[in-house]
Amino acid sequence: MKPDLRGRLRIPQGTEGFYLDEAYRHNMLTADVQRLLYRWGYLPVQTPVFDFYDSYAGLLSAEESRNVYRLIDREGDLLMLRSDVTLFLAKQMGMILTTEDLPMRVCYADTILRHQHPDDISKNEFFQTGVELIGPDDINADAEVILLLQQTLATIGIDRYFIHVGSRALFNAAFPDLDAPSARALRRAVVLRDTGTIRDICTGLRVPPDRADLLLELFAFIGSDRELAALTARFDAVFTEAEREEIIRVRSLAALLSEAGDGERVRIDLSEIGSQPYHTGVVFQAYVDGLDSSVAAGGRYDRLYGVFGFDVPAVGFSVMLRKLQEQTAGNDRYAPPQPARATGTAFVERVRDAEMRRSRGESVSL
Amino acid sequence: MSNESSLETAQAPTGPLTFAVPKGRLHDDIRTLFAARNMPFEFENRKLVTDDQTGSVRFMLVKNSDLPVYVHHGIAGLGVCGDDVLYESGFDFVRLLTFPFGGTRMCLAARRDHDPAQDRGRLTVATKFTRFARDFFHNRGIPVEVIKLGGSVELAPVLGLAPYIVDLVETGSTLVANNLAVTEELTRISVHLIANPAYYKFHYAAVNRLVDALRDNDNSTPQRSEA
Repeated sequence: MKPDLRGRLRIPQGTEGFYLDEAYRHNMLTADVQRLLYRWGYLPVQTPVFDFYDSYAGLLSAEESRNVYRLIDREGDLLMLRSDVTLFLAKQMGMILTTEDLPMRVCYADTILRHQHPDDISKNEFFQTGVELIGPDDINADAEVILLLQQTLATIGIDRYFIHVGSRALFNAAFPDLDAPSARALRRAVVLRDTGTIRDICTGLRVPPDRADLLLELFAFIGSDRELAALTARFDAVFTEAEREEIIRVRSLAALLSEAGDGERVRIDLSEIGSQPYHTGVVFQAYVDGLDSSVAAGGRYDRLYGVFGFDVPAVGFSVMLRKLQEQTAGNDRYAPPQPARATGTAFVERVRDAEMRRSRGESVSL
Repeated sequence: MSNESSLETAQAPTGPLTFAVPKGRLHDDIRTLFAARNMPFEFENRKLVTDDQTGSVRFMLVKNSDLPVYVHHGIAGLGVCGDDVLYESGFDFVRLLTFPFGGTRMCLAARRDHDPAQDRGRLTVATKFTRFARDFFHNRGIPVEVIKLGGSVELAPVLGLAPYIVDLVETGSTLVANNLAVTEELTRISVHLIANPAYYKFHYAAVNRLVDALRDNDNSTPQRSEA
């Protein structure tokens, strides 16, 4: 009698399995990236799969707050499943690190679990690989993680990409006194280049018209250092000192990246202001040709560790390797081996043959 | 700043921009606009994909309500879509231009003889635009029961399914023919050039050139979105 499978094979939103060729490719990509991260001096960390929701409630974006999976443990405490490795890592590392350990470089490769809309399963955000550089707060640290992201993409053969570098600090300097709901609305308007909403909020804040013009143009800017220099010169009289400082920092970082790495792949993009409430300074995202959303995101979060009692700056990124798998389809390195059969009539004979051939690098099954 | 000259804008690889065109009432307006900008295109022999004559834009003909899905998934990087369809999709897009054509109104309507006192503080509304209707009234603190319909929404009050409808109203002649009247205009609906946010970022220079071309000075000049 056939088993009754009705309803038994449903898959909940926010999880996935992958198998055989796909799993092989994923494991190889992850291994290649982890080897690279180790060579850059980053040590692995594992975070718990779930933790107390209250530890993170104030640090979640509105969208993440809607999408995290929550459960109640036997004592009645509300838990959440790991939806963002950075958050869990800040608490864990904050508990074990001391100032003598700094600077600390850590890396991770972990599943994350969060709800995805049933009509929108394209994001493939189930697995994060990333790094954190804990301790330094200078632009050399910012540059290090962006260069490492570039190396990560190069390592797995991704060359049609751009990294867009912006600044949450510049946004915070331009709008210092916003309440939380207005800040959320304004950040969303900047990201979606919604000039109408930005202008409305500026009007509500009684921003003078010439300064509103500056802010609209500034937070829509994508381009080169030279183009940003021209824009800042045009509005020089309208900038505050804090804004000037942040723009200099972004320009200095871009120049440093240009000198030290592949500057052709880096763009200054002041509409990049960071998606997370905990972002504080430089922020960036990587965009790959043909993909419908960014494949990597990162930035500085200098106050996140302080929330968990160890007040130290940090910068990092996470890359969604699952999104990039299709882009590596033509790379033979990530194609699963086609194992040869061991030869010999007796089982032990085949074992010996397989051992010898495997030692030469062949893939051999018994 | 030193080292100013070392960082030039990195350009995306070249190739046609991908552009979803909705079937239906906006289709002719879009073709006319592109033709006026020397980028004419036509879908021949029931084909659903075609390039403009300059080869700079690849057009894809899709159902109006499906257009946000194609752009969200990056199959088409750009598209033309009204606020009504965008809102229902729930996806986020960059709005690059607002077109002067295709504008309409989203209205609450009821039978001419409907007495609001019968509502007892809550609304029952039949509509195709369930997400919009629910959010609109909830944001006003008005409890609402929403009944989803696929079309011919005007029938709902006539047949007694719901006292109110939320629907697009252009001339109002369909309402009049069914003895209905607009109770309130809820919002204006405009038509926008939209972009998948990641697509815009990767191709921003080419997209901006297209936007500038479409915004060229004449009577059909679209405006930068002030949505």
